[in-house]
Amino acid sequence: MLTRKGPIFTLAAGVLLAAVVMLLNVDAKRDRDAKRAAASAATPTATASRAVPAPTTQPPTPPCCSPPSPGLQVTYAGSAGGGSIAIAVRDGHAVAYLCDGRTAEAWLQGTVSDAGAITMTGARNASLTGTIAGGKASGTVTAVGRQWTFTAPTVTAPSGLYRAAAQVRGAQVVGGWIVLANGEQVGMIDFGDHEESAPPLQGTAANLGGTPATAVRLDGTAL
Amino acid sequence: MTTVDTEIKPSNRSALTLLVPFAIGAAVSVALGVYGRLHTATLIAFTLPGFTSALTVKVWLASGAFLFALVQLVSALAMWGKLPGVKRTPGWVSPLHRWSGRIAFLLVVPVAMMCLYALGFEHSSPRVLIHSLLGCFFFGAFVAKMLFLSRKGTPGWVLPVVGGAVFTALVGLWLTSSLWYFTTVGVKF
Repeated sequence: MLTRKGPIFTLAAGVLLAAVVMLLNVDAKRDRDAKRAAASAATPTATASRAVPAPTTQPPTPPCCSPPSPGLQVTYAGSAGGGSIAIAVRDGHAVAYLCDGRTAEAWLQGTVSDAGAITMTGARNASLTGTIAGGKASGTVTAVGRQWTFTAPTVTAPSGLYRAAAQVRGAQVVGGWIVLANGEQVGMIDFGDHEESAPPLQGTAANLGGTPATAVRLDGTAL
Repeated sequence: MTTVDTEIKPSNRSALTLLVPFAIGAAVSVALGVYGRLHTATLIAFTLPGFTSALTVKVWLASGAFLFALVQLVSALAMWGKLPGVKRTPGWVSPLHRWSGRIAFLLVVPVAMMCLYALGFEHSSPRVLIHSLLGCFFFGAFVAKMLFLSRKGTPGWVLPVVGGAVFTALVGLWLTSSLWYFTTVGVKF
């Protein structure tokens, strides 16, 4: 039945390439997990073979920090008009989570310009505009039908922005937590059809409606 | 499958010629979707050197594939004599079609692997849902088309229809990802 082999070779090349990319993906994840483990071990000199000194942790608190310089990871967390907000920034990319712990939450993604201007958007027309200056992020979020004005100082791990995802009874469930500088946590879980307050994280262990999951401390590159 | 019986010789063999590639393509689509739903999103994928994140790698690889897909559309029209003003199709059009297609396909394979690994099949917004569905559909349709190409006895309408579906899916994927990124986040590397 086969008359031409070219298309089959094309498919074979695709499968091969897919396998290579998957291996690189797994490697990237292993690399990140190793760095994270090194960071949480609180020994900056951890000598895991691949672990470059923990870039997911905060660099020793930049004293004056205007906009983050390229390559630097900074997380801002603070209050936002009745709720809380955390913004993780890395290389000009930013991920933010706004949450009141009860009924309102929004995930946003966007950018931070060299001058410190933050521009972000999220699902259901959510948006954020703000500035980074003097070690603080401030601005306004429009989400869940209202405006939230925020001021958020830099925080260091384990404070920051956490996210956990899992499949629960066939549905994608996503939890988000903001861990403030004083250790206080605000979090919610999106079950797809409804949202709920999230039980606090125990370290990075999350409980997504009875399903255990591991929360990831976001660094700003992607959700 | 009534069309199979009416449009081509009603022999089991020709029905199989149609059914097998479609069935394999459908299986590929379903398999990708199932993996995307069951695999826990890792929120990380590998990043090519020179790009700031996996996201921008995907945005630009997909944009490259989109350009090659436009070449696919024009060269396919020429091959089927549907390009206005082109009476005799030059001999280099078929190789151009084959190779631009291969390149487009090989550009989007890494994108799909990065999407599936880091994010998976999501439905948090219409854009994301449409993108997830089209992504699964695209690879199934592409596999079906490659299988049709490699077999003889395929009815004449099949390749344009499946090729058109592949092209449409890729354009939809690009609109719901790269164009969205360029317009909401900006043109970044």
